[in-house]
Order: sequence, then structure tokens, then C-alpha cells
Amino acid sequence: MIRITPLKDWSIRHKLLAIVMAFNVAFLLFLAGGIIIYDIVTYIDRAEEEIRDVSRFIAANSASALAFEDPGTAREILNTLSAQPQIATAALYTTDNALFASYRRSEQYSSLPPDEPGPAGLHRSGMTLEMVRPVQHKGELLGTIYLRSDIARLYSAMMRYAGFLGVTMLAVVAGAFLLQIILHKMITEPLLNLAGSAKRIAGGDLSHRVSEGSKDEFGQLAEAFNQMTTELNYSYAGLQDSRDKLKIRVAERTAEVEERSRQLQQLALRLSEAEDRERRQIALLLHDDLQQYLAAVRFHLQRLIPADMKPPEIEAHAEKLIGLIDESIQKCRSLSHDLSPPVLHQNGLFAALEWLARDAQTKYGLTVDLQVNRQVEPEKPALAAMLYHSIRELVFNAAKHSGSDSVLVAADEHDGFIRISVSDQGKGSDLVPSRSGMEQGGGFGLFAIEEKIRYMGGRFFIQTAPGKGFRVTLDVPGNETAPHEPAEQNGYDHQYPTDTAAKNIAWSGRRILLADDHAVMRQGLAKLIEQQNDFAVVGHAADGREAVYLAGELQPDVILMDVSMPGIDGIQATAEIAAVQPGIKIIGLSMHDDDNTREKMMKAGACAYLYKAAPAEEIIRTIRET
Amino acid sequence: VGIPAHVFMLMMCAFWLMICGVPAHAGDSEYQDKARKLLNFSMFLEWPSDAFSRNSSPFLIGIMGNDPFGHGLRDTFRNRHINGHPVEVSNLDDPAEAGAFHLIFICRSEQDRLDQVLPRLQNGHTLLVGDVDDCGDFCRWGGMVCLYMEKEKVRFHLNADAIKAAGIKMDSKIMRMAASTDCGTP
Repeated sequence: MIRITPLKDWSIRHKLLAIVMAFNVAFLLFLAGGIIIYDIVTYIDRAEEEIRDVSRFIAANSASALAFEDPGTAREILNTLSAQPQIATAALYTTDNALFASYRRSEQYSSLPPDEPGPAGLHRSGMTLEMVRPVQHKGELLGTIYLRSDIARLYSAMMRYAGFLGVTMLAVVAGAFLLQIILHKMITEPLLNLAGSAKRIAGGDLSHRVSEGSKDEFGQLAEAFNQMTTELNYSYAGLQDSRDKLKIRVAERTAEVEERSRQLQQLALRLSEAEDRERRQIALLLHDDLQQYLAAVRFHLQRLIPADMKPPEIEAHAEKLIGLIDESIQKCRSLSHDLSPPVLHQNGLFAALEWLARDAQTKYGLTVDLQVNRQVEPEKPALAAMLYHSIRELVFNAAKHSGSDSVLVAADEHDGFIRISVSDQGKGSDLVPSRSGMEQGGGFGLFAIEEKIRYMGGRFFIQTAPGKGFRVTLDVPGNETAPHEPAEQNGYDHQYPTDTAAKNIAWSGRRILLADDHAVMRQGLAKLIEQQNDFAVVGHAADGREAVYLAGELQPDVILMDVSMPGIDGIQATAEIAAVQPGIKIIGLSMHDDDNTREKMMKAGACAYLYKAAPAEEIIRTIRET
Repeated sequence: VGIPAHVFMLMMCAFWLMICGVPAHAGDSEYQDKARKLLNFSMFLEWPSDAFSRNSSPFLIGIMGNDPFGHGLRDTFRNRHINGHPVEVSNLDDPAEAGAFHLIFICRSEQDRLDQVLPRLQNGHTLLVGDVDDCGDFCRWGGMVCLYMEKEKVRFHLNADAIKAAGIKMDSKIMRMAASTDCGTP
């Protein structure tokens, strides 16, 4: 097998050139070699034949010159040998072997003739031929001719061959180039064109066509190639069309799904809002109505039994009744907080979580660590409420099941989401957390939390293993990406009937203005205050705006200011009054006894803060001491 | 550089031989050459067949006058054949016998009476060769080949027309050797 590996990577053009050249040169060398060998072999025979003929001719012609002893003529005859380049030396001798005439082709290179001709005949030594022939005429010996032939002719023949070979070689090389150019034009170029076209088409240029120049196989191939490309183009166009249609359909479906998802999110948000609203309404009902009524009942009961007349049996019953009322108020308050902590609506999610942490510590002895980034505070009340209740559920789940006495609640921004995580270092779980399986004791449950989060476009993860704790991560869309929310309807923002019975009373003792949206509460407080001789109730305000107005009109000494009121609340009203009439003492009054509300009230300008369920004596004493 | 004494002596002897020897042989050498010339000449000529009565008839050479060859001519032609005929050399005393001869050599002794001799010799196919001083005169009286010496070499003039008239064919190569081919023509 011929190894042509070195040629493998050459271009077709160079391969063609190399093959044509190699063939021509080999052919030429073979031919020239054959001719030269043949020539060398036949040269001797021909040389012998020639020297015989020449000697015969010279002998015939020189006979008369010898006969009549005319060396001049003899030399002339010998000089005709210059036309015979193979003859180097020639001489004529007389019958007594004396040199008669001689000839040398070259003074420089041809040797001198011998002194005597030597024996007749043809003598060969190496490449030298010597011919000695008697010159006779009609049988009469007239003298002797001597001829010497050398390789000069062979040498010159070789030189001629070399010249011929060189010239022919040049012609062959030129011819090979020409042939290669023609082959390239006729064969390689169409092939390379086809290869280039195939490359372009493979690269995606289906509009490209091969030029069909000729009617030969290349032309047919190019035509077939173009036909194939056209069909490919049609197929590709069809494919492209189908792909475009599919794209449009996918886009339509995606838009549809996104629209559904958006609707679902809105629905979920509204559901949360509705739930939150219901919670707040119930909480409001408990706090603002039931609790106020209970507080009022307590005031009235205390007033029913004056301190100086204390029949032992009535006093015991009254004390028991007051105890039951306090307990009811406490339950109402607790329930109200659990349903919808006021701090959530007033101060946002993170403030509510702080309250929750204190509550958990108080109720369950559970330490809740908060690590929150204030920048991610949810702006939407419904979202904040949903998150609060979810976190509360997760914290209480941890308290019940983890066996750990601390829970970490973290909030931060992650990937455009608000990420909340609730984790403990407790027992953990070896189960793959199934939503229903993890649901503990109804209520919110993990399942409900996950459903809500997902409906809102969020994400929900659980990470747990036995002994490795339990971690729940909630991702909800950030404030910027939150779905559009319809204008919030403050369903709980009731318009209470305004009590405009503001009385302008001239009084030298402490003049007191009562500001509370609950009439029964105002009445209870008024009865309590009016039992004191140095106290007088100068006006009633049913909301914050009215309180500010009456404070300006009546110039009271003291204002008992409820915190939660419609319109502007007690905190804002306090701030406004304190700014204009710093002399008026304002005592904050609320069913909330949390530090946060107390702090805000004190900051707004109140000089004291009282819990509405506090004993009547404490209220009186506070008014007196301010 | 001194030449050894015996070599010098040898060279002196050779010089003496050259001085003394050459004139002694000069006369012999001339007629030996002339004899040889006659032989060569006869080889380049062809006599018509009717010049011989038979195939075996001899080729007759006659010497007219005082023979300067001595035995030289006879020695030269001894055992030779011309045109396939054996050669016989004899003296010619009577011009009337000239018709039987194929070649007649007219010696120097006859040069003063050429006008008498030559017309009598012109009959048949006889080549007339002269050894005279005045070749022009010789040819004018019908002589065909006139030998003369030039720089110690034998040269000759030809009277081609006379040769042709005698019916003798002449090889063209001889014409090249001749000093002239129209000897005797004014």
C-alpha cells in the first residue's frame, strides 16, 4: 500500500501539480535514461563503423596525393575530417612508414600521431579507437592512413542530451503548470466552489446558490445541489413558520397563564384582605364595643357601691363581679390582640413582630430573636397581615413541637423577593415535610401558609432533618413587584355618631375634657369624675378632630384622650393640641397597655398614660396629680 | 650546461654525413623518384582494351635515348601489373617501333631533336613521357606528360588533350596533382 500521508493535507491544487510534475519528470528521466543507455551501447559499434568508412574515404581520396607525393593536397584531404568531430587525430604515412601528412582536430586536446602507423586494423583501448589502413590503388600500396577517434563525440552527445534534458525539463515544468492551471480551472475550481457552497449552506445561508457554469458532471452536480438547497430552503421556511406559530401560541398561552396567575394572586391578596378585615372587625368589636361595655359596667359597678357603705355580703359579690369583669376584659383584649394586633396596623409588620416576641416570651417562655432588615417592611397592609399571621403560626408551631426554647425570625431582601425565614434548633423531622402531615391542630397550618404564599406569587421552602432543627422560608414578591391592588376599603373605619354636647362651664376647680368615641365609656368616666368635688367635666369629644377643636374652645385643664378614635387618632390629636396649647395636661387612655402605644402617646405630648381597665382610684389620682 | 664529449662527437659525425652524403645520392634519388612516378602514373591511367592484342599481352615501356635509370626503372616495375598486364621494359632505338609500346620515356638526350622524334611516335595508344628542360616545347610537339624537378621533388605538366586523343582515360585525381593540364598550349 502506497503511503501518501504527507500529501493528504495538501490542497487539491497542489496535489494535482505534484502528481502531474512527478509523472512528467519521471517519464522524461526514464525516456532520457533509455536513450542515453541505448546510445552508449550502440556508440562503440557506430564509432567503429564510422571510423572504417572515414578511413576508406580518406584512403581513396589520398591515394593520388601519396602517389604523387603531394603533402599539401594530402593535408587538404585530411582537413576535411573537421566535419567528423569524432576523429581526433589522422595521419598519412608513405610506404616506408614516414609521416606524410597529419591532422589534429584540436592543437590543444588532440594527441600527436604516432611516428609509425603500426599494424593495420582496428584497435580499441578504453574509449579510444585506432584505425590503420593501407592506402592502395589498383592493388598497389601507396602508403598508410592512421585515424584515432576519442569519446569527444560521446561527451558532446552527453552534453547535448543534458542540454536537451534541461530544456525539456523546463518545458515539462511549464507544461505541468499549464496543465495544472487547466485542471484547476476545469476540475478543482468547480469542486472547491461546491465545497465552499456546502460550507456556506451548512453555516445557515440557504439563499446561496452554486453557479452552474458547465453542462458536464459538475454542472449536473451543481444543479442537483441547488435543487436540494431550494428544497431545504422550503422545508426550513416551513419549519420557521411552524416555529413562529408555535412561538405565538406559546406566548398566548403564557400570557393567559400569567393573567390567570395574576388574577389568582389578586384573588389571594383580596382573600387575605378580606380575612384581615374580618379579623380586624371582630377584634374591633371585641375591643371597641364589648371591652368598652365591660369597662363601663365596671365603672358603674364601682360607683354603685360607695366606699363608706360596705355590707360584707354585697362587697364580696361586688368584688367577685369586678373580678369577673376584669377577667372578661382581659380575655377580650387577648382575643382581640390575637385576631388583629393593633400595632400591626399602626406600626407595621416588624413592630407587630416585636410585640409578638414579647407575647411569646410572656405566654410560652419562648425567646424569639428578630433579625430584620427594615428596608423590606411590606407596604401593603394585607400582605403584612398575611405574613404576620403566617409567622405567628410558625413561631407557635415551633414552640409546640420543636422542643427548643428559641426561634429565629429573619427578614431580608432576596432576589427581588422579601424573604422571611423562621428557624429553630430543635428536634427537626425525618419526614419529607408533607403539607397536610405537618399541619398541626388546624388553624393556619403549613399547608394553608404555603397555599397563600404560592397564590401570591411567592415561594415556600422547608429544610429539616432529625436533630438539625426546622426551617421554613417564605419568599413573597417585594414592594415594587407586588400585584396591583385595588384601593383599600377601610371597612372597619366606622363613622361613629358625633357627640357634640360640649358645654362651656365656668369653673374654678379642675376642668376636664373627655375624648372617646364610645359614648358609654365617656358616660362612665363622667360619672366617676363628677363624684369628685374639685373636678368638672367641661366637654365631650367623639373623635380626635373634635377633641382638638374643643380644646381650643373650652381651654380645659386636663384632657382624658382615648388613643383609638376615628378620623385623627388620640396620638395625633395630642400632638396638635400640645403644639398650640402646651398648658393643657393630656392623659392618654387606652384599652391597649403595650409600651409601644404608651411611648407614642408620651412622645406626642401626653403627661400620663392609663389603661382603661385600671382601678377608678388610679384614674382619679392620676388626674389629680397632673 | 656542458654536453658530454661522446654525444658531441656523435652529433659532429651526423653533421658530416649530412654534408657529404646527400649530394652523392642526389642523382640516383631523382631517377628513382621519376621511376616511381611513372609507376604511379600508369596506375591512374587506363588504356583501351584494343591497346593489347591479348589479355596476357605485356604492358610495354620503352626508353628512348640514353637511359638515366640504369636498373632503376626495371627494378621499379619488376613483377608489377598495369591494367592487369605484366610489365616489360626495353630500350627503344627505332621510332618506327613505337606503336607497339604503351608508354615511352623520352630521355634528356633527345631534347634537342624533339621536333624530329615526337611526330614519329604519335600513333596508337602510347603515352609519351618526357624528361626535358623545356616542357612547353615538348608538349607542343605532342608530348603528353613532362616531368621536372621542383625543390627536389618530381612535378609534372600534363597535355590532357593529347592524352585524350591517344584514347587513354585519366583519373581526375591526377589533374589535381599536375602543375598544369594544358601544357603546350600557347
